[in-house]
Amino acid sequence: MKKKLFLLLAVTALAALIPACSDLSSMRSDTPLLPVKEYERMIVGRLDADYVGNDACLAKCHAHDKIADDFHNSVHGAQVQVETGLPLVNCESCHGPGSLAIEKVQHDGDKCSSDRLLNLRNLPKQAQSLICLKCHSASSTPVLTYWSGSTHATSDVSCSDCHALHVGPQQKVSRQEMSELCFKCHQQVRMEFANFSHHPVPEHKVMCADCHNPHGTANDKMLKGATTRQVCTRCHMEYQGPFVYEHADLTENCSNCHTAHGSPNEPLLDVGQPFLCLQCHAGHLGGNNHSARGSLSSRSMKEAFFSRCTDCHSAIHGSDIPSKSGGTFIAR
Amino acid sequence: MNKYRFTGYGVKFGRLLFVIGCAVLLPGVTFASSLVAGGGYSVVSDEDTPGRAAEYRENESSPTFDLQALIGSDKKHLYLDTAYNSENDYRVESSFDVMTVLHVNLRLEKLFHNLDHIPYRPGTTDSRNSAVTYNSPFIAGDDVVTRADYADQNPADEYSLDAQTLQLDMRYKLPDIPAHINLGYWRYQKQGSRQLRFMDEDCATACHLQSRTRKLDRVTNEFTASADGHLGFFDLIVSYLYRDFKDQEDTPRDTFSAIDGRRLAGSAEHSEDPDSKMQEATLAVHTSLSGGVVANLSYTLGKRENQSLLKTVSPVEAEVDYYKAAGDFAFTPSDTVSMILRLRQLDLNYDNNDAITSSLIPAVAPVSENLDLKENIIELISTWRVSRNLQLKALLKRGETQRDNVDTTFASGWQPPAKEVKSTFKMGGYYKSRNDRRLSVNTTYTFEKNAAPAYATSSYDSHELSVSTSFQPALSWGVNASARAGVDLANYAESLLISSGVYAFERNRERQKQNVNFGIWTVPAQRVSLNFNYGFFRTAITQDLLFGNDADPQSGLTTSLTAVESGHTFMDRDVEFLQQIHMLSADLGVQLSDLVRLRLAGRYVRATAEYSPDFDYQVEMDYLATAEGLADIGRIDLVQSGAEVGIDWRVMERLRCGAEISYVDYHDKNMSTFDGSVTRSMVNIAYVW
Repeated sequence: MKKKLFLLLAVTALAALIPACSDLSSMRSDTPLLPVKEYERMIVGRLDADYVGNDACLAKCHAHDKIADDFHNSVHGAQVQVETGLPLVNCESCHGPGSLAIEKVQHDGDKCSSDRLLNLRNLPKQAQSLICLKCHSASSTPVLTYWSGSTHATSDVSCSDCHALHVGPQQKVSRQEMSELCFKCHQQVRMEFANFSHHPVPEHKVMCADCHNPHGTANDKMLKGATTRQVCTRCHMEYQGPFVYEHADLTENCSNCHTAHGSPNEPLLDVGQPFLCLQCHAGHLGGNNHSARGSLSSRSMKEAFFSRCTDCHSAIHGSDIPSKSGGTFIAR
Repeated sequence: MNKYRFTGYGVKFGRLLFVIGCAVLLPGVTFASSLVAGGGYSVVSDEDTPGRAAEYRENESSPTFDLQALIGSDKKHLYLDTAYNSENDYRVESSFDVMTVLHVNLRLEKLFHNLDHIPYRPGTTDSRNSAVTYNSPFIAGDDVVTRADYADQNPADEYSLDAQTLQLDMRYKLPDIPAHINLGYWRYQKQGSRQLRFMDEDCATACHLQSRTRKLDRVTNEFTASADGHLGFFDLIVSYLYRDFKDQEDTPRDTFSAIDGRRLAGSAEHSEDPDSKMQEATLAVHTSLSGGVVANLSYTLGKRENQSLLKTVSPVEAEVDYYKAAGDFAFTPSDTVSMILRLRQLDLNYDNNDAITSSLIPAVAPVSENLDLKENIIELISTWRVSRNLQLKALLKRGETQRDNVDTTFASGWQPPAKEVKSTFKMGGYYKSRNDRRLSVNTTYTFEKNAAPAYATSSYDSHELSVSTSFQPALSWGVNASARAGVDLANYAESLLISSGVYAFERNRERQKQNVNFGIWTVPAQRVSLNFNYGFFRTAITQDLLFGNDADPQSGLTTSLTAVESGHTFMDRDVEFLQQIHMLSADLGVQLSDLVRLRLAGRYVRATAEYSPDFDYQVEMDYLATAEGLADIGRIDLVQSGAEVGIDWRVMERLRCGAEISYVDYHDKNMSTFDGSVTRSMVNIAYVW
């Protein structure tokens, strides 16, 4: 049933492609539904200014030579080439028409009237993002699929809070820089990584975007994958299973026991053993079934049965091997 | 494939790509490329057991090398970033772009991870005892019986693994239309060895706790292919993912003893990390992101399969079919209000064999069906921009979780609830002063209610308040602070099957979590910068713990089945668990001259945790079970500290050099097994073209 539904959706979508592909001009343009007029007005810029082009703007002032050079060598800069078929991206695409800004610039060294350009920093975050989305909506950017309903978008975070377009030709955040960028807002997470048991984010071997998509996802906490287990088992696939004997549905969400950023409890456990397990399960006691006799009778017996449960229950994430009772002892 | 060959292939591939890139680019190079190349040497010394002090360092002295290069023309760019710290710690990242029509990323990386070896050797400090005896004064013939013993088959082995990643992504834009083809390959290989701790279940006489080395050679391969296109009114994305996992080492075997006729003696395999594969296909559509109405819909179908290679157990059949549907509808009628509706549906269906045979089990063993999971979530989010400085946000969420195949007979003990309904209400405000951008305050309150919580993983009542702020009153200093406090309340009737019927124990639980973070930065003098951060995390849990889950009441004792304690089971009420972590860090930078900068940094982390059971309970006529010693055994008291001194010197405009000494230390106040420290000294020199 599900496969048929999926096939139906796929065929419908493909059928929609045929008329779409025949009308190139509508394919290439952005067609927003009910655009927000207030934001549209904010990003238009001065209505009494004209577009002058990069060369007219930058040729008058060499203070921006480095920025211009970096931009020219960036992904955005390549889009100035008509043959790419992509929307034009130059200074005025984001900063607004520049004729009034350079009106009084006569000689090299004269400052332009930047207050006559778009005041990007003081725009509402949603308007700042709209400047980017105008082009990225028309150019197919699948990573932004869930942006509008995402936690960042609804928490007053804009594209430029993370993407700094003028620091160099590489405009995407690098793996080396990403954690510091995220920690600027997520201070608590920075401190969590200071615990001895942690994912190697401070060592720059794992980055925040390996698990999270900051643009939004279909999962909680902007985690990738259909479930939390799928995020974690990409690298820890030995725990994916599925196993004949599962640990109930606990393992579908690894954060039931683990805390992914950092913990004083090896390995990344939210709470140490044995208390972690005693939260749900009964501890050992003398008796006939399931419990080792005398397990609370002496210090050494307690060390055996109440220190690290996984010394015996070693296949705690699941197993394909039955225990002596035939049931789910999850050992060996 | 051994690690050296993989490393060799990766390096060769990286070199090949670089050469191809240069060959393609160089003829057309029209701008000066940028190049930074540097090298140095790192000297490492360590004391005691350095694995936890430096969890991700190999602690071997080594030459170091790094290179960043940007080569390009108007239409093509090649970017390369490499860093080599040692044979097991390096990275190569490269991106190649042709007029944004073709984009290729390559990443090759290796990391090293130290692993613990918990000692099982008699006489070793903090080792487990060699034999644990139990002496019953009341049962004849039960004098000084060994109940548990320990053995380590590989006591001298040290454990670690290295993880190698190869990632290649390509994005190609189709001519003339805004559509792309994306292909990706990701390979992840872990090699090394770890400690396998297990028990021989011969508990009728004694439990034999054992340790041995388990070699690791695991490979995950992932292929992704997708197509996306902007089709006027909507965007369409179709993607496919295939991932497989192979354990290239044989599953270890050991010899196990017979138990009461329920288990036969013989050689058998340990629990393996089964080979598996996953396939997933996703179809997504969304309208223009720049509109006041934005809708998206996605549908994912997937399957995970167990491909076990066990020889002494059969059949091993387990697979999961799942689908996930997600839809968002965002409506922004004006610049002051927006509303978002989010729908999520997840359906996971497990299928496994009904019975299983093992070479060690005389009879065919039945296998229960694993739990199927269905989740439906609906969320409504509303934001109101009161002014340019202030935004308020409210969220209402309802989630239903349905579990199928829950064992309602409770024959196997505690079961999660078949149905959970969770309602969440969240509201918050965000203030930022726009004129000077010096003050921002973010506050959120969350309330959650769950009609049937799954014990210890969800709660019937939950409250959380968080506040964060940053303030920069002057150009020379600023502060940021955050605080979060939450409490979860839960109670649950844990049901056990007793010979005369199902019997329930009411267990109460309360969990509190608080954390506080504070940071201050300042430039107290013209060439001096100082950073100080403090963090505090606290988790406090109070709950009733159950000991024993035996069905039968004790012989010889009068037991009422309506009482809480039922012979071989008793409750310890209001047991407290407390975990606290303090973290301090400080960084100082001093510009000694225009060309020389001094760096100093220090770190300190102190983590403590313990739980405090308190009970006396007579077990049979055998012994008095007491809580004495349990808190000591489970206690954690760790100190991590570190310091770093570095100096950077710009010798000439294009020549830089630097030196750094760092020290990290790990100390457990309860046991010294994993105490250790690492000192690293590094010098490097770099030239910028």
